[in-house]
Amino acid sequence: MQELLKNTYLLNNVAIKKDIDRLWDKYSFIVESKKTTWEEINEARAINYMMHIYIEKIAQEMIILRLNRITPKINVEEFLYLVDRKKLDIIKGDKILSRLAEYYKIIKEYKNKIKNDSFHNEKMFLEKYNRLKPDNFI
Amino acid sequence: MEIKGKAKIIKSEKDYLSIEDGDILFMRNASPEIFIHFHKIKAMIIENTSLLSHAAILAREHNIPHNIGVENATSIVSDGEIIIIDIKNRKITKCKNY
Repeated sequence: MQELLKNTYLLNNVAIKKDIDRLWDKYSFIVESKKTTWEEINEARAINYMMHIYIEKIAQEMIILRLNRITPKINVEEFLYLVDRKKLDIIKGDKILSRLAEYYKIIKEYKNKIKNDSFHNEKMFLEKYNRLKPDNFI
Repeated sequence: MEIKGKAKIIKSEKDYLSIEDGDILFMRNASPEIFIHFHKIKAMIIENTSLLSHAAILAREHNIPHNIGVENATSIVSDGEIIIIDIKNRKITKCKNY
C-alpha cells in the first residue's frame, strides 16, 4: 500500500497498475486457496478495505489536487464525466489530463473486477470468512 | 434541471427488485448490480460523498441525473412519495398531487 501511495504521488500509472494488480493477486490467492487461515482471510479483508479507502478517498483527492493545477480550470465532476462518457477530445489535448484519465481508468478497472460471478469475489470471501471465524471471536 | 417522479428508497440490494419505471432512487451507495435497472431510473440521490463510488461512476456512465453527498438521503423522503428534484440546485420538493 505504501508503494501504491508513493506511485500515486508520482502519478506513475504503470507502477500504480502493477501495485494494484499485486494487491488483487494476493487477495485472490487468499480467497481461493484451500489452505487459507483465519489470519490470512483477515489479510484479504484488510486489502479489500484499504483499496476501498484508497479509491473512494485518496484517489479522488489526488485527481482533485492535480486538476487544481491545470489551466484552463476543469472541475473534477466535469473531468470524470468526460472520461465516463468517453468524450475525450478535450482530455487528449493535455498531457496531465491524459495521464489523469489513464489513472482513473485503472481505478475503474479495479472497481469492476468480477470473479466467480461476484464483484471482488465477494461471495467466496464471505463464505470463507464466516467459515473460518472462530466461535468466540468478538 | 427539474425531474418529477416517485421516490424509491434503496437500503439493500433486495430493494433493486422493486424498482419501477420513473423511480427516483434515494440511496447510501449502490452495488454494481443496480445497473441492470438503469433503464427505469429517472435520477439518483446518493448519500456517499465519493465521486468514485460505484453509484457515482454508474450514474455518470449512464448519464443519469444525480446528486452525491446528500445527507440522510434515505430518510428525507418516504418510499413512494411523489417529488420534484432540482439537480442543479440540489433541491427536493414534495408534491401533494401527481
